[in-house]
Amino acid sequence: MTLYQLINLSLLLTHGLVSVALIGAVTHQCAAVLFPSTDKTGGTFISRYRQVKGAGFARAVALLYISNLILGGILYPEYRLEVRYALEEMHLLSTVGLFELKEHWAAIGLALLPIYLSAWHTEPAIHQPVSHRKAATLTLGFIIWFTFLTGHVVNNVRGL
Amino acid sequence: MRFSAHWFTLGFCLSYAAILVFELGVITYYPITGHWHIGAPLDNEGPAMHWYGLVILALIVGGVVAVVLKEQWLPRLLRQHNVFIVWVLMLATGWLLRGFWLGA
Repeated sequence: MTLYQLINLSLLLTHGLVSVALIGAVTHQCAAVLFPSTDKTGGTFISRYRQVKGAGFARAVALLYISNLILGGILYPEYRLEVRYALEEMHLLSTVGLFELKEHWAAIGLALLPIYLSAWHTEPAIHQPVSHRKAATLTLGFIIWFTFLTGHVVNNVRGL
Repeated sequence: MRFSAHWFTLGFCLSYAAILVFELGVITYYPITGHWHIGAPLDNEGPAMHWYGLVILALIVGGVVAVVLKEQWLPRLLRQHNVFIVWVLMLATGWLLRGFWLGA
């Protein structure tokens, strides 16, 4: 394995690990806004899972999201030259299309980040309805899950 | 310096959609030669990548709009349901890419 391949592999693994951290954080938040727990005693695992203070996750989610987008951006030319050509030769256009959708939705997630952060750091009772926070969080959660799963599927079909 | 999150989302989404629909590939990266190019696409440089330029331009437009325009100038409906615009853009990109699945 050459140094170039080793660097690419390290970047790809880091990209995957950051994705896992991001998925964990955003799923916690989604659970907290979808099914807020009223159980103050701790209760079951599920109850504790829903009890997290979502605001504490917001900055971490934004930071992880931007970091992961940059990592993906660094790896993207390698995908374009090595993977996409191979997929096209195998006539797997639906897989190519999935990756195209992933790159667009990941970018669109950037547009969502400021209103997502603002929704978590503004008192909902005064400035905006709670549903705004819920909508922004669930949409970001959807984008993160979609991009993660798509990246995983494409990498399984033809990895870097 | 004030920054309007809602104007940023609106500016980013509208500029992203416009660049994508009208294929305004202003900034292009050529991964084989490693060249960046501003302007009309070049020949003999290998495959072109427009995504970076798309994101950079949308970030610039969104950032400028968010700093220049006041939050209260944005209609209340858009302020409260700005996420809807994000969904519209996501669906629109899916529609624009439909050829990959429908073979069009």
